[in-house]
Amino acid sequence: MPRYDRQVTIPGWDQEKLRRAHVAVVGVGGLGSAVLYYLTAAGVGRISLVDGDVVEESNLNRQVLHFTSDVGRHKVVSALEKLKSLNPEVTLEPLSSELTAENVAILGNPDVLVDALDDLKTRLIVNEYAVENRIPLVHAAVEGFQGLVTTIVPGSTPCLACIYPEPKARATSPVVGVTAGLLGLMEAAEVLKLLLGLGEELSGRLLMVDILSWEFRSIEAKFRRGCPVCGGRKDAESSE
Amino acid sequence: MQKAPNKGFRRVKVFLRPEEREVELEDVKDVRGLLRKLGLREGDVLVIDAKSSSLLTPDEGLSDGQEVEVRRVISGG
Repeated sequence: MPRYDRQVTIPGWDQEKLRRAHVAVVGVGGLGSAVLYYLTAAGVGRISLVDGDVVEESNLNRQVLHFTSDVGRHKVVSALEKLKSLNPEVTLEPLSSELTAENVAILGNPDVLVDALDDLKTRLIVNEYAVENRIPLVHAAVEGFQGLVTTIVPGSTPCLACIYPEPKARATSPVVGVTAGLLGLMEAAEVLKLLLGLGEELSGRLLMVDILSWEFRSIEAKFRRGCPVCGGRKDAESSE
Repeated sequence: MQKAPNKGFRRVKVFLRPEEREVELEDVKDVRGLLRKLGLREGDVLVIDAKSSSLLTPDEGLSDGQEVEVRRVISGG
């Protein structure tokens, strides 16, 4: 169909595979806006959107799915409206709820989980769920003009708890809209690659991006001995 | 006869980001000790080996002359 004409000719692309896929995006803010927009446009068949917040005016510099007239509305409702209009073929499942360890099972069993959150505590809850259920997890974080992105493949790569052993206290970070947009697009690209089996994901690597210097650095992640979530892949195979 | 190096004595060069500050620390055996000397919590920073561009976990040992980057964790979205 014409909607996907410009992508279906890409070698290895399988539109039907995308149509059958389910992706859950946790966080409908700066990162989430970019991820959701592009996954919806690409034709991912089923997308869950999870966020318990309402739109605030201070979100509008970076959360591009929300408009001035959306201030005060639930983010998932605001996003749903635009995404439906963008691509009515996609099944969108809004979950207007703050994610906690008690309700994390609402994420279900998607093919890929996307961490588009803004606090480490909830990120680690999603990580634990991903590892337990062996669901690939795409993670990104931003601050100012900097960001990082990585993909956790349970059973194969270090998990988020290996990288961030203790949740840092929640703080309001300064974020430039383009940083959230760029890193969100990188997350969306990772999701498409995972679903289509194309290229090499950022599994086991953190890609650090500095927009001011245009430096992109790939950092190797390592299993953490005694990781309570993934076991440090049996403590890095008992230190080889 | 050359004096045997003292295995317990290590000098590590640390680049602190985003402060863009460089310090040299002496007698730090592992990443955990390094963070303790810097007064930082394990969860607040990522420690990266500058040469291999790999993350260092808290229990990893440090060698004399090693250069590491200590980068504040970011978590905005």
